[in-house]
Amino acid sequence: MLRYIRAVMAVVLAGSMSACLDLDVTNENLPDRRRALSNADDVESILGLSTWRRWYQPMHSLANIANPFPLIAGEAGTTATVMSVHWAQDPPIPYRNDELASQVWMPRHGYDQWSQCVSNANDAIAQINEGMRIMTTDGEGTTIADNTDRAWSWGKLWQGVCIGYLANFLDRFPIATEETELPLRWEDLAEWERSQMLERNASQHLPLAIEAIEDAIQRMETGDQWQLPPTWVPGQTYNNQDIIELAHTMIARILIYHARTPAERAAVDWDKVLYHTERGLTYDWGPVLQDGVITDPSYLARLNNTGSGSFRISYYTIGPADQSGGYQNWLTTEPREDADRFLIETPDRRITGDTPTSNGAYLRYVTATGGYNTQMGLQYRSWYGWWRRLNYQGANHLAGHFALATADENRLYRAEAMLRKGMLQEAADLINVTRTRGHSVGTTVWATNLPPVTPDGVPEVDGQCVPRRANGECGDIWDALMYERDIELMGIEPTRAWMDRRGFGQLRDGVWVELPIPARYLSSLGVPTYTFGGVGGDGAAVCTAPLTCLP
Amino acid sequence: MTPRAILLAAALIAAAAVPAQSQQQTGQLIVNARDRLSGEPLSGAQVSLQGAREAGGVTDERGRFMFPALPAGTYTVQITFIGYGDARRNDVAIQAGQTTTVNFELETAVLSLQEVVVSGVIDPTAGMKLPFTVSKVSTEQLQVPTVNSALASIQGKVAGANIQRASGQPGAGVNIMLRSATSFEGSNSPLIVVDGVIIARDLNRTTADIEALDIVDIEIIKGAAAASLYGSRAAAGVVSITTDRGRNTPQNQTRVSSRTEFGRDFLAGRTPVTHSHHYLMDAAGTTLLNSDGEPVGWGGRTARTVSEYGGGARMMDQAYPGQIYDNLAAVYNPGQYLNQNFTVSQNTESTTFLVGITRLDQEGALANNRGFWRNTGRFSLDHRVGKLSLSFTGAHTRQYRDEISGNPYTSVLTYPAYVDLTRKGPDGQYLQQPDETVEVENPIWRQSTRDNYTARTRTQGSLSARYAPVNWLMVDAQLSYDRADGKEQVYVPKGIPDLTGEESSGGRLDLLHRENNAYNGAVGATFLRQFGELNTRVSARGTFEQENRETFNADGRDFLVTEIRDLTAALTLFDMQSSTSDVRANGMFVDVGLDYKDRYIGSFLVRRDGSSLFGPLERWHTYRRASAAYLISREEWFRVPFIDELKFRYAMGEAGGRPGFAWQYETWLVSRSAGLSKSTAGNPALKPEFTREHDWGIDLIAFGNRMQLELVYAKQHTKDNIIVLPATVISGYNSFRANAGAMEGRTYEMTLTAYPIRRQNLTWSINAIADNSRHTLTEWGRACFWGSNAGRTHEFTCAGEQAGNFWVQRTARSHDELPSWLQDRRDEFDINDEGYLVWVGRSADGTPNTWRDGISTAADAQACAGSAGSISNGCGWGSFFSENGFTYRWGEPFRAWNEEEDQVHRVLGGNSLPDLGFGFGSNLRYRGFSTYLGFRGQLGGKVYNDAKQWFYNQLRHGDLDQMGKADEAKKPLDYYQRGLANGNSGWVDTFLEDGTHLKLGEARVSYRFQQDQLRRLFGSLAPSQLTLGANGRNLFTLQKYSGLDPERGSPLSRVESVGYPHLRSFTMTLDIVF
Repeated sequence: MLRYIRAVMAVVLAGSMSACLDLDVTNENLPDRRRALSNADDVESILGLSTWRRWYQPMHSLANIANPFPLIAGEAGTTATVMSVHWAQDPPIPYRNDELASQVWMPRHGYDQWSQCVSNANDAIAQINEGMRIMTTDGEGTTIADNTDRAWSWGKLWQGVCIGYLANFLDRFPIATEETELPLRWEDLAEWERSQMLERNASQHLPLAIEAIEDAIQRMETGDQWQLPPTWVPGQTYNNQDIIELAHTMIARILIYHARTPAERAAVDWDKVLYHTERGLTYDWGPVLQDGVITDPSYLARLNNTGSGSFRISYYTIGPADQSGGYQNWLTTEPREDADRFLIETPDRRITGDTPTSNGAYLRYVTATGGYNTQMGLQYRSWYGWWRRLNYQGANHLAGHFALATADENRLYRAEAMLRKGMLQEAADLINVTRTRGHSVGTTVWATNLPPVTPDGVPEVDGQCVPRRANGECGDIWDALMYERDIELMGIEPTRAWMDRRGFGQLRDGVWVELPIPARYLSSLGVPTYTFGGVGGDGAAVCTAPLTCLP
Repeated sequence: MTPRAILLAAALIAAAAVPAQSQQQTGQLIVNARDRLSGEPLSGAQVSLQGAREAGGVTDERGRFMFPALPAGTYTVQITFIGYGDARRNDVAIQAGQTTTVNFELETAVLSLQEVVVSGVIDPTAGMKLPFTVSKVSTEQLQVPTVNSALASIQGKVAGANIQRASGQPGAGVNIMLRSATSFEGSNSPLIVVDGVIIARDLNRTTADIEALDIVDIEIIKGAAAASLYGSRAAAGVVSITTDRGRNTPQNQTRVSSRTEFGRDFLAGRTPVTHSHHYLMDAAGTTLLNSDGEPVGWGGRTARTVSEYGGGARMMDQAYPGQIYDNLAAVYNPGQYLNQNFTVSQNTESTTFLVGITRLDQEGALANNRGFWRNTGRFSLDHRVGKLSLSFTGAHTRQYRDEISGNPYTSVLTYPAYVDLTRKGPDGQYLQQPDETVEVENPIWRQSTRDNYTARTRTQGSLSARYAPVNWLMVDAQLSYDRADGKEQVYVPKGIPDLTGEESSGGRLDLLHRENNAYNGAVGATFLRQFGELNTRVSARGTFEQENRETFNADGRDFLVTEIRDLTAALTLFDMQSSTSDVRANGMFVDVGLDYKDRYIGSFLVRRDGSSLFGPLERWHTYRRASAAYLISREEWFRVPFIDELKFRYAMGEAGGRPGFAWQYETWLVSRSAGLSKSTAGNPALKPEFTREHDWGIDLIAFGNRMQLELVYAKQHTKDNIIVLPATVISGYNSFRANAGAMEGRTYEMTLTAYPIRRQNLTWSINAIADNSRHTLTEWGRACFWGSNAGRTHEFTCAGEQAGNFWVQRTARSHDELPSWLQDRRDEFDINDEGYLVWVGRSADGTPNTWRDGISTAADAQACAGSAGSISNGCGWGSFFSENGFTYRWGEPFRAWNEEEDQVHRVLGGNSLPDLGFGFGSNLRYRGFSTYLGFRGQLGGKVYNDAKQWFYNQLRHGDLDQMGKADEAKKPLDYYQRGLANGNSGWVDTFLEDGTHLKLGEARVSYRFQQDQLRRLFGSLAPSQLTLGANGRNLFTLQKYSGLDPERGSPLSRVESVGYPHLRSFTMTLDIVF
């Protein structure tokens, strides 16, 4: 018996020793992070392309933000699809944070892509921080430039912008920088994320965004001089100074638009905004659209109207220009589906020509009704479509310079900061730049025909004033600022109207003022699903602005 | 010791014994064993007594064994003999001083429970002593070799085995699922072992590599309870194939045998096609007209929009003028089927070998396509030297398949019947586009202009040795090798006209090379020991596996010169890719088998598996099995008439499902155009899927070993299902795989084998199986979604859901399904003769129209005047209105809308799995005649008729034919194309059908000539056996299903797509043995 047991034990031992293959196998097909970031050219490529384009894509390359946000904000209207009506319906309903919902991609792309933008920047910046140098060589291996500063500061800028956009969109989100040591096991990483998602923390992350952009500015100011390769921002070779201006404006944009309510807007660090807008954009920043490089800028594609499309500019945006009383009638018509389109009588030549049915500099009178279904409600209809790009800039949505941040924008941010700081005349001067300047239509240059706004408000001339409030009164200087933003900054950034209006109390009652973490991530992390919006709901707008609301 | 001394000693012992025996009152027992059919005595049968101390023994050459002195009493006598069923006689009374004789007539072991099983166990074990389920398909049931994959042989023959084929193309493999699914997103295909060689699965259509004619039997381990022996890759079960090694060759003889099967394959069934059209014609119906009423050819044809049929409503109700053609018959004509097998085998006391070659040549049924051929050479050798046994198996397979270009079946039917696809041009060649109005290439022409193929070679070898130095110890080792090389080519010569724009006329050459090298081996030992009435067996073994795979592909376009198949000559090279993978695994296990009193059986196994496919933090995993069986019929007190054997058994076993090669790794995508980007997050803690199965069974042999019944209930629980999860956003990756799912499955199985007639010259056997399986996803660690990451887009992936579910878009059938914005217009909708809710409007006086008024109201502009809203195109067919972004067309079905979810309303239409799968076979032999019929089918279960949806959309399905219908019943083509087929978009409930069917899948009739007949015919050259036969496959199907064949798709996605239809074959066979 003993011999038997011994023999069995011996063979078990021998058998176990026979199984001796080394089980550590490397995947030689696709690199992991270590191998992917071992080459300086690849690190530079990630910083150059995989940061800012991740910021750009969800808004401009995909329809998931470009379509709904102008509708949600009341910037545009359409009944092209049931979903279009869903976004803009009155009263607004809560955002359906459900993986099965047809609008599931709307918040997910922003959340995904901006997070990837941050992550890519983190990985590549960490390599540089650990000593990697981005060297450019000639064809024979001789170093001709050290582009480490360029890569680092460009990546850092977009790391900050993407964190800022996450903070401005979402109520909470996890964030890491290049200095954060993330757990390796997905369970641990998920736990780490879960802990960051248990309470609203977006505002806590805002300083991180600003700090990153400021770090970028500092290195651009003190480091080597450089030019961007034209492949990074297609068609452009911006230099240090150009990007520094962009960075300052982006800080202002993020700071101002972070506010969800008028009270938060008032509490913005306006001194900081003043500081940055003083150094902000003096030119219009953005790529030259090229087929195959940056394609389908959906916001432009939808907004750009040649008469055949079904996107029209909402009366929430252009109604304050009206002098006929149509806007006030439109606002007060109940039920809302009976609020039909009306012709705008206005001195603002950006909206119309000399008559309500003639084309303005930015907008065009459109009679086509393609895609509009009267059964779905009349309030989405409008006689006016946007053709500024075609007309003013002479390019359609597939070609030409696409400005993603502009000098006008920077000026109007600065104007708000001045208003907040009591510098009323200085603010009026800035607002009046666009309010009074001429605009070309073909070979014709038209004046805007609006008298300058004063600290006392917009003057009434011949019984006309622009903008006019919901109650028919002439607007004050604040109204003039918002009106100017709505008209001048249209076509730059599809979320601008939503972000701007929530801080001014301009959104309709019930529109969500921030977005929840998409359900797919909450579900994976075991965090209960939640959402925002709906009249009286959590995270829902309350309309208080005199331009769009009656007391 | 001298003989005298021996005799003296014996006498003394006998003298001493006699008083004792006398005191105990002993008697004599003589046991005789004979073959029941032949009456021949059986020498070597093991005789034993239950309840007695006397050891038994083996029968002598007369088939006799004697117990000379048994104490008087009552005994149970048992006799066992290899190849025969066990027999037992209770209540054998031994009387003092008398001789009792018991005669056994043993039946040849024909029941699988009486045969030896080699799979799932270390040592060959009698089926009746297995404590878990291993099904066996024997030669008796493999009379009609399957044409594609040899594994299709078990279809309808093994309870719990669900086998479907996605295509009828020669050389296509099969999709197998045993019992219920154990993986939601991974493979549910079983591990395949051929003669101990684990078949590498990385090449597609692996099951097509196995030659059916070589198979002796197939053992199927259906679940983890039995598959624990195979550890972390066996959760989906194991199919173990044993090929012929010549062991049935008479001892010390050499046998030469050949088998030839030849015949033809035919298209099995045809899609009904329309033979009418909707174009303007003259009154006589002989000439096509244009809109100006002028005669035109087909090129100038104009859709008829005559007012009586409504504005724009196109009704296909006119016969084609002139001749029409049966193009399906022209393109799919019967092709040759030839299968030849030649073997030489020899069996001596120490050596057995077999050499065999097989050629399968199946043209299929598609014109200008050479089909599939496979050549197989095989060699096996078993040699015994004293206590050492050596075995070698080698096989080499070469196969070639002429791949199809485009989809000929759809192309044929895209052409209307007036087009003759067989027409040739002045150059004697088929025309590329026989009708210029049809933007599809003539499939006959197309096949002749391409050279697309898949070629493969496979070489397998296995060497094993067993050494038994003492009777309680056996040491064994095995080493196997499996190499597969694959080459795929797509070739379009430069200069081929380009009609569809798919390929450049500058030429195209796509090449793909694959190479697989797989090794596996084992070293172990088995110990046998008897402790009183307890027999023990302990086995220990260490195993290893390694599989390397490499692929390379490169595509070229725009060749410099014609007729060059060299990428060097391609001006444009793109899509060059390569990949490599290396998979390794180590394992070790200990298995303990206990057998107490021949009726209490126990088996316990522990296996430890390590694999490079597991994350580095989870490299090793343990699998266990505990099983027990109780042969209650062997209890002395068991006295149930007609029951020969009755066993209750239970097994609990664990097995795993391995992750894919790349699943554990963090990966970045590398793109020549876009550079680097993050792809999947790694998961160093990725574990194998883990399945635990409980298997309860009752095995019964009754009526004198003439009937066998197996009843099984199995319940599986799989945890750690690997699913794709969205990565944590902070990582920057899109997704990763994690063990975040769980599922449960259960299966009921019944297997019945019976020999109602078993005589020397007449034998009739029947086999029947039935099963039912269901499984449910019980945990799903991410948000639910429509579709499936496993490609089954008809599923809803969520906890509580079953894999294989069909969630289909609901076509409205009742007024309650109208959206809220139409509820006030309910009376404007009617339910038509096909049960669909359709808008029909109402007249000015408020009277609703009916579905019959499509033509009659078309001429009456006021017929819809009472309808709400704005109506376009008057009334009747062709009119419509829009509301809330939806358009409702007169008389056309439409999809119900789920307003809550703001999307089309989906309903659960059913599941791919049948309510009851069944099969039965009948085998009748009378003298030399033999017939075999194999039926299979299912009750319930759903099949999606994707082909019908496609043909509706293409306006070619026979249902669109309105000729001969009353006007009120006629429906325009838009009714089918848009209303029902939804523009061939999505899963629509209209096309989900009941899969209930009964199929005669196999039939064979043969005659085996007797020796004397052969001698009369051939004299001294007479072979020892000659059999003539005829086989039929896929002969007919009784079905509710309206498509071609309900046996399509895969077990969890029963979808009949438009593709190569299944074939029907008729062949003759000639078997000769010398």
